[in-house]
Amino acid sequence: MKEELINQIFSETEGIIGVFEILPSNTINKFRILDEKKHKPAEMLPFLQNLVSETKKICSVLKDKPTDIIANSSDYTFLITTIKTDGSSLVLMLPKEGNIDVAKVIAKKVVDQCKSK
Amino acid sequence: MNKRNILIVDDEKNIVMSLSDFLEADYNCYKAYNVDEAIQIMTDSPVDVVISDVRMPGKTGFDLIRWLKENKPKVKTIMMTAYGSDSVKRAIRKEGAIFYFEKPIDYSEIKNIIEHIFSPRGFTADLSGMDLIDMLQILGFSGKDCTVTVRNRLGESGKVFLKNSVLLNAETDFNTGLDAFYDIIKWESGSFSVSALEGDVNPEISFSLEHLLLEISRIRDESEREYETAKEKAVAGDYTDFFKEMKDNLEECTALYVKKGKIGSVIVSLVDDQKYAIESAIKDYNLDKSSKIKLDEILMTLENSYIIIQQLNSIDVIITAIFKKPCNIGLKYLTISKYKPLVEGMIK
Repeated sequence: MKEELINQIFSETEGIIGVFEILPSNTINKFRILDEKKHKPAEMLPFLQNLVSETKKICSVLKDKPTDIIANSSDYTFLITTIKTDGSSLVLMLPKEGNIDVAKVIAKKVVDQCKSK
Repeated sequence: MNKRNILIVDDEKNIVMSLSDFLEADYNCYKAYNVDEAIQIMTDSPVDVVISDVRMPGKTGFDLIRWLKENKPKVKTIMMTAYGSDSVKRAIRKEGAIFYFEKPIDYSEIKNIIEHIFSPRGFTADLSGMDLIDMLQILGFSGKDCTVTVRNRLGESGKVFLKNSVLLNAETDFNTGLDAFYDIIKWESGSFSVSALEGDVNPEISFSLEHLLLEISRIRDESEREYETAKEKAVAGDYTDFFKEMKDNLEECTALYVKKGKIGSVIVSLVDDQKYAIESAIKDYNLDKSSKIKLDEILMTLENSYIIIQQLNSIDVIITAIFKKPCNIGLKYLTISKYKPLVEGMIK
């Protein structure tokens, strides 16, 4: 993902902590995390991988496709939006009390921009 | 600019004095310690808003509202009571008060309501500290023509269209008309804003707002009774009956699974349609496998269904509910959240 797109996400999503991409192979690209000492990527990445692979299992049993996933932990809210054209997913990481409405709008905008390219 | 006039009526003098002290920087405050004094003041002086206790020796706050309806119909009324209950609340609404507070009273909240009453422009508010029904009632009494846009905490939105105290229509992503209105009313947290009435509203409902709000109070009481029945079953440790009741209350729920997390044993598996039977996947679903991040809840939006997974970390239990689209998922989420403490109490 282009740097300018990540800058856009950070400038438009108040309180955002991190942005990731999950590839169809389940590989996770960490684009940016603010304050990596506090929000440790080493904890985030396996957690996200696990969440996505378990979700895929359920979807395959249901023969359905995920559109988006909102996951709340005691400290964070993760919004995972599927970028359908290549099967990858965009992950926005917010604080627990973050504004999920705004995050959804931004994620949709980014996904639309990715699709149109 | 001239200050607006507020009349505070309560037989408890300390409440009248302290509330008056709190408000008098912004409003002219008149004080009365019984209904007769209040009527005398309103006969002699202009009053915009009355804040009155319900129970007072002699005539009550209800007597005062009835007098106001006949003699000063433009005066808005806010009621206070130390004896709050659904029936008192309903009675207060029925009599026509625009808002009521239970004692002890947060004076800042009363001030907010007064500001809303006098505000000529649109406003936004956080629903977490305020009942949407109360706010609709204020708008109904003001006779305002407006569109109320409500968003719940999952980002779903709905609109309520009001014209001259009549509910013209309502809409959500899934419904229009009365169904949409009832869906919106059930959202327990979120935010809303009020703006001018949109020009092209189809008057699909056209019912008196007051009548509808009373009906909603009744529906809420019924829902509370259903919840109480489930609670009794939870206390009795009757798992299957309890979760059947919960699933029935969830409506449109096609599968409900409850499992003990680490052991992976399914406590309850209720499936309407085998298409949604994913018990094996749920049994293996392990959210704790890899990290220190403990998940509380997940909402999956799939193309044809929604899945809500609630993790009760204190008792190592996971509740999974699947809903066929379309449905009001915000409502489902809130209903499951409501049941969580009961499940925690039952399965230890």
